[in-house]
Amino acid sequence: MRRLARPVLLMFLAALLAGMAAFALLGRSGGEARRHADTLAALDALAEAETSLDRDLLRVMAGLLPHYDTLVLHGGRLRQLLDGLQGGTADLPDGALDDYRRLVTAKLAAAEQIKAASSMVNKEGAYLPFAVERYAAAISPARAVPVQQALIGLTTGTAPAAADRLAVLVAGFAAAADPVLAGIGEHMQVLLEQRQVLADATTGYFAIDSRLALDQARDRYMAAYGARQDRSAVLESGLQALAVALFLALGVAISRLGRAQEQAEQAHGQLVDAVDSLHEAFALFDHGRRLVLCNARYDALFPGHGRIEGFRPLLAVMRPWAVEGEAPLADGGPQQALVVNPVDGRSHLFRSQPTAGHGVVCLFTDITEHRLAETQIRKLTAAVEQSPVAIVITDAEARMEYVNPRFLEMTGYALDEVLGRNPSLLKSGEVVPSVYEEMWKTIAAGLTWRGELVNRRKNGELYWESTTISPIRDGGGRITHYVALKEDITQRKANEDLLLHANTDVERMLFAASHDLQEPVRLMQTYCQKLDRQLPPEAAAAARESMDFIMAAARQAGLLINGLAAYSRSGHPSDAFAPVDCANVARRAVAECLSASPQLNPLIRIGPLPVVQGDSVLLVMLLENLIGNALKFRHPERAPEVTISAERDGALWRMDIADNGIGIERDYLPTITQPFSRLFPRATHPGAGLGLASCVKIARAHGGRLAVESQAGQGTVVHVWLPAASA
Amino acid sequence: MGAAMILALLAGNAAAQGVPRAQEPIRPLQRPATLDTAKVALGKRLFHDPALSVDGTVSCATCHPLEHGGADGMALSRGVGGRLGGANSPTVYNTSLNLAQFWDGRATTLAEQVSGPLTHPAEMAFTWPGVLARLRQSPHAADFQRLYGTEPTETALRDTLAEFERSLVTTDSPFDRWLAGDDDALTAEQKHGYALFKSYGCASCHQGAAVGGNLFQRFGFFGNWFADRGRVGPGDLGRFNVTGKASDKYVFKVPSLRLVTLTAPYFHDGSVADLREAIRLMARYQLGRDMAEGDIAPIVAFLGSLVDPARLERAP
Repeated sequence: MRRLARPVLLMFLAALLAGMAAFALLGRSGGEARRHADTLAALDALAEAETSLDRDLLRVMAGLLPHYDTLVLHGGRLRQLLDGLQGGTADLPDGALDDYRRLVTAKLAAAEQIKAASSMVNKEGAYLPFAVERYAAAISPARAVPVQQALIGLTTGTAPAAADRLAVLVAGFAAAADPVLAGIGEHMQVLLEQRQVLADATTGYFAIDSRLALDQARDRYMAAYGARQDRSAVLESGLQALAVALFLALGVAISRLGRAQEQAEQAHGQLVDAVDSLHEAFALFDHGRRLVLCNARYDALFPGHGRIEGFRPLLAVMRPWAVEGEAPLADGGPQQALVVNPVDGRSHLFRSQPTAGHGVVCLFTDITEHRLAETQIRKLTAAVEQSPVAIVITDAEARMEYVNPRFLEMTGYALDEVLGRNPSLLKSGEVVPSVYEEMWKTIAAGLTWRGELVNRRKNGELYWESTTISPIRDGGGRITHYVALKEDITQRKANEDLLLHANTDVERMLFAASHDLQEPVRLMQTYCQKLDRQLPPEAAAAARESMDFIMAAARQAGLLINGLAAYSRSGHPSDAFAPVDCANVARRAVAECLSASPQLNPLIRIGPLPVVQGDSVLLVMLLENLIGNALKFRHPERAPEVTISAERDGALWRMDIADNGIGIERDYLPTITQPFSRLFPRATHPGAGLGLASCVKIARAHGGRLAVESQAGQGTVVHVWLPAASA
Repeated sequence: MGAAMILALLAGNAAAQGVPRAQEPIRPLQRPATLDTAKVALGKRLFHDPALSVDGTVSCATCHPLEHGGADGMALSRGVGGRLGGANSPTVYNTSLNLAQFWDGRATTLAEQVSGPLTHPAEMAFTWPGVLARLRQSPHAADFQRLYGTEPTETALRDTLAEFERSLVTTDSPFDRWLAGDDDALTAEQKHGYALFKSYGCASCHQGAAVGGNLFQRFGFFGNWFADRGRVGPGDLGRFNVTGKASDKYVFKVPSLRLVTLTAPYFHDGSVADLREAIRLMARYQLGRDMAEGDIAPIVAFLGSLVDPARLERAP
C-alpha cells in the first residue's frame, strides 16, 4: 500500500500544483491587467511630464515663468516615473527604456543649461537697457549710438554674419578705457555668450527626439505584452488540460489505492491470523514503543494487568520476573531472558529483537513443560547414574554410548575404555555361543531378552550377571539403541546353589519320609478293616465309634502322606524339559480324574491346546489337580462343567481351566495358593490342602506362573502360564 | 455652525488682506501634502542619534542643528575625531525643494543623499553594514519592524531620514504671508529690499519657493572670484566633479536663501562670514555690478523676512 500511496500523493500534489498554477495564472492575468494599466499610465505620464517640461522651459525662455520650481518638479517626476518603470514593477522588456532614459537624461542636462543661461540672458536683457540708457545720458549722443545699436542688435537677435560683427564691437566696448563702457561691454559679452549657450542648449534640447524613443519603448512593451498574453493563454489552457489529466489520473490512482487498501486489509487480517496461530506470545512495538500488533497469547501472559500497550511498561512488568543471574532487561539490541510469572508459575523464554523500522518485536515461548521435562530428565539421569543396577546404552551397532558408574564399578573398566566399544569386551568364553545367537535374534526382532551370562571383569575375574536387553525405537519404529540392565548376581548364584542343595535334601527327606510313612499307614488301615470285620455285630457302639475314628485318622494320614510325596515331586522335574503336547496331557489328566470319581458325569471341554516346553509328568499332575479341584468344588445344583483352553501370551502360553463350581470368596483369594490352605471342612471336601500349592510350584518350575480368578457362586478360572516349546 | 463658518471665512479674509501675489518669482512654501508622521518621528530620532557615526560621537544634528537654522555656523564642519570636512554644511531645511543635494548636486534625491555624510571619512565615517548592525541592536529596531516590517535596512534608513527631511519646511514666514496677500507682513524696508533684490537681478537665480536651489549656475560671470580668492582646490570645481564636462567647472547649485540670515558663513567653502559681504560679492561676480552700500541693508532686511526663526524645529 505504501508502494502505491507515494505515487498517489505525488500525483495529488502535482494536480494541486497544476490547479494552483492555473489559478495563479488567472490571478496573475488579473494582476497583469492592473500592471498593464499602470505601465500605460506611467508611459502616458512620462509623455505628459516631458511635455510639461518642454512647455515650462519655453515659458521660462519667453520670460513668462519667473521661477524654476515647476521645472524641478517635472524633472523629478520624469526621473521618478523612469525609476518606477525600470524598478521591476512593470513588465517592460529589458533595455526598452534605455534609449529613452539616455535621451531624457540628456534633455534634463540641456534643460539645466537652458535654465542657467536663461537666467543670465533674462537678467542681462533686463539690466543692459537700463545701463546703456544711463551711459547714453552721460555722454554725447554720437558716442552713444554704437552702444545703443549694439544693444538693439543684442536684444532683437541678428543674422550670423552680423553676430560676428556684434561680437567684435562688444569686445571693443569691453576693452574701452571708460570703466562704464567697459562694464557695459562686459555685460554685453556675457549676454552674447549666454545667448549662444542658450541657443545651443535649446537647439540641442529640442533636437532630442525623446518622444520617438518613448513611442518605440511603448511599442516594444505592447508587443511584449501581446506575446505574453498569447503565451499565458496557451499556458493557461495547457495547465487546465494538465490539471484535468492529473485529476483523472488521480481518480484512477485512488481507485487503485482503494483496491490496494483492500488487499492490505486482507494481508493484515492474514497477518493477525498468523500471529494468533503462533504458539508463542507475540507483540510488535513501533519506533515510539507503542503496541502495534499482538496475539491473544500475549494478553494471556499478564492475567490481571490488562493489555500492556507499551514496550517500556512491558519491561517494567517483567523485570521482577527475570530469573536470577540473567542480564537485566533493557530497551536496546536483541536480548533474551528466562522469565517466570509468579502468578501462574509458568516459565517463558522472552526474546526481543529490533526491527528494520526501529520497532521491537517480542516473542514469549512457553517453556514450562520443557523445563518440567528437563527436571524429569535430570531426575531420571540421577536415577540412572545412581542406580544399583549397571546400565549400558549402545547404538544400533552395539557400540557403547553410555554406561553408568555402577557398570564401571562392576566391570572394573574406566569410562574411556568402554565408550565406543562392543559389550563383547566382557565375554568370558564360558557361555555357549548359542546363548548369544538367541539373544541377538530376540533383540533384533524387537523383543526383550533376559538371561544370565558369565562375564569377565577387567582384572580377569569371572562373574555372573543377570542381563535384560531391550531395543529402543525411534518414531519410525527403527531400532536406534539398545539398553542393557545388568545385575551382578554372582553372590546370589552362590546362595541359590546353597539353597538348591538344601531344598533337594529337604525334598529327598520328605519323599523318603512320605514313602516310608505310607507303609505303616497302609498297615494301620488294613488292620483296622480286619479288626472291624472281627468285631461282633452286637459290640458296643462306643467301640465301633472309636474304630471309625481310627479309620478316618488313618485315611487322612494316608492322604497327607500322598500329598507330601506329590508336593515333593512337583518341584522336581522328572526329566529334562522337552516339548509336551498339552492336549495329550489334558486327556490323561481327565482320564485319571474320571477313574477316581466314576459316579460323576461331568462335561469336560478341551479346546485346541499348544505344545509347551516342560515335563509331561508334572504337567499331568498339574492338570489332574486343577480338574480334580473343579470337580471337587462343584456346585450342588449344577452338573459340573470344565473348559480347558489356551491363548498365546508373548513367549508364554496361558492355559485357562474354567469351571462352574462354587467359586471362592474374594477375601480368600490371596491365600488360596499357599500350602495347607483349606477353605472347607475335611468331611465335605477331602484333601491335604496341598493341591494348588503344588500347582503353583509346578508352574514356577517351568518358568511360568499361576493365577486364580473367581466369583463366589459362579465359578473359578485358573490361569497357568507355561513356556512355548522352542521351535 | 453657520456662524462659525462665516467667522472662519471672515478671519481668512482678514489674514489675507488682499489677493495673493501669484506672479512673483518667489513662491510661498508649503508643507508636503503627504507625510508619514511615524516615519518622520523615527527619522527625527535617527537624525539626532550619534549611533549613526562610527564612534558614536556625531549625529546628523551635530552639523545640522535644527534650532540654529539646520546648519552649524562653521565654515567647514567637523566630523568624527574632529576631522575637518570639505564643504560648508548647508541647511537641512527646505532641502526637498532642491533640484539635487550637495553643493555639486551629486545626489539626485534626499534618500540618495544619506550615504554621503554617513560614509564620508570626515563626517560620520561609518559603513552601511556597520550602521545597520548597530541599528539592529538599538531600540530603533522595533520601530523599523513596526513601520517597514523588517529589521533596519539601508532602504528603510534612507527612507525614514528622507521622510523626516521632507517635513523640514519653513512655512509661514512674514514674506510668505505677504505673498499670500498680507501687505502688513513686511516692513517698508523689507519691501524695498525685495524690489532691489528683483531689480538687481538676484531673483533671476534665487527664485521659486526656496529662493534658489532649483538650478545650477556658474560662480563668477564677471571676474574670476576663485582667482581673486586664491588657492583653488578640487572642491571649487563644483559640478564638474559630477559630470566631468568642462562647461560645468565652477558650477554650483544655487543655494536657497530661505534661511540665509541664520546660516552664516556663506558659499560652498564657508569663506565669507558676513551676509553683507556675501551680497556684495554676489553682486560683483554674478551680477557684474558694485552694489550701493545703501541697498545692502534693505536686501538683508528682506532676506530676514524669508524665515520665521521662532517656527524652526527643535531637537527632541
